[in-house]
Amino acid sequence: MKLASSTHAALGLLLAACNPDYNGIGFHDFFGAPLEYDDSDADLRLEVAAVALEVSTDPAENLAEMSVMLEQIEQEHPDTRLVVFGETSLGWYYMPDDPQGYQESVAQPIPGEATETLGAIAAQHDVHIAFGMVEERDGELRNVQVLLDTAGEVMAVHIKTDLTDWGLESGFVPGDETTVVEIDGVRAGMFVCSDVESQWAVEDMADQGIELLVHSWASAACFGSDIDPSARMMNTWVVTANRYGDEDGALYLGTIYVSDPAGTHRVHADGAQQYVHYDIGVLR
Amino acid sequence: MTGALLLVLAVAAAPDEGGRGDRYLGWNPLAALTALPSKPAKIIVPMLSDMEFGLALRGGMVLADRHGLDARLAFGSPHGLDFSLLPQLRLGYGFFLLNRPLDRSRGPHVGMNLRLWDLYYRTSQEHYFSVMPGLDLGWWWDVGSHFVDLRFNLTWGACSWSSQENTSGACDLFLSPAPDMMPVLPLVGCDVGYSW
Repeated sequence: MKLASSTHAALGLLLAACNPDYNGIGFHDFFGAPLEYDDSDADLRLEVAAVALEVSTDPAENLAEMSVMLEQIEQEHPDTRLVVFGETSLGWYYMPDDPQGYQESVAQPIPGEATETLGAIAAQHDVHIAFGMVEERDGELRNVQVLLDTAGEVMAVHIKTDLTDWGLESGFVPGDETTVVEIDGVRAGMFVCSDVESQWAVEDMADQGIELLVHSWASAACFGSDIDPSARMMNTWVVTANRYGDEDGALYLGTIYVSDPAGTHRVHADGAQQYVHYDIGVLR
Repeated sequence: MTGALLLVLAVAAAPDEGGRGDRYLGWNPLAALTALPSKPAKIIVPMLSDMEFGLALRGGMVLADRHGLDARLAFGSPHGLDFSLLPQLRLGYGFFLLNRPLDRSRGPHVGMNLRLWDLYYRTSQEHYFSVMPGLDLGWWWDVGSHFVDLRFNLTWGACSWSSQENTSGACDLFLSPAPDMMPVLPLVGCDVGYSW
């Protein structure tokens, strides 16, 4: 009897958690040896950087910290053409006491203070900047990734489509389409965090033939593998930025990396506020 | 794949010369549950289905002196059949640690296996192949003509290659596909079947 009831409980858990659009990333995607990918004869090259930012609850502090990181990257790698920050970089990803009230307090319109501040840096250093923030639009909250061009103008705003429970508690309204842009001639798709777990979004990106996935992430868990399955699923370079630190018990590891289309991490770091930089080679 | 099929057919067709229960056919039922589109089904269940997905069958024979040959075939998708495919073939050798009286279960066994893995993403239309060696430790219970075999299997490396252009193969030693999360990841497998 005990075995039967346990089996029923386990099956109930499996069925209750079903999401037909979940694409099923798991340990199976990491089995195997990392492959070598030769991009020495690349048709296009693009220097990219991914940042792990220790985020406070105050948007002004975070904007200042982002500016410091951008200045550091530009000093150390002046030819960088794209800098990517993590998801909701202007504030905490989730505030347990008042999830929606907090996100309303840090949300900004686009264009607004954040896009203007970072846009000025983008124009000054001739660099694209992608970052996550909460957008207030028509009285609704959206978890978005903003892309600023080298003139400092808003080039694209991607709305996260695949919201987590925390995102829903925070009052975010999901988007319903993917976003693909061109960055220095490289066809780039934009994802916010768990968009990468959406079957239709990944299929749509693959169908559009993206060459670079710009991925802003807020992940407290990490498989810790040297393989990125999303790169393999879409046959694309991936630059993934994250957040770092303890946000009221939610520990963010700060895992950031650049992966080639074979899914092999070219650079990878975690455990601190920092950035990684890489010169990707796109083959056509 | 053909080799495993031939072995399974040979097991089924071979004349009975080894005594009761020396040949068997089995099924890994948990592999079927991985078809459910949920995180537990895609992340936790595969650790309990020995990373087999969909239809997972097994056949083998126990030779003299407690040595055994085993073949496993699995076909399914770890993601969804419209997203990816993952056929697998595994050949193994096992040794039963105890002499078994006719009325008793075979009991503990150890073994080694070699798994051929072909993960095909329909989205990118690329295959990712791996050959992965494993060590296993298990316990075999007989219930009449039926059996239950519970095993731990530890993959300890891989040689991998791909259909993707501009890639070259590589080999690596590891005890877990996600070492930061779990430095050692032994997989659990449980088969039920029929022996004769």
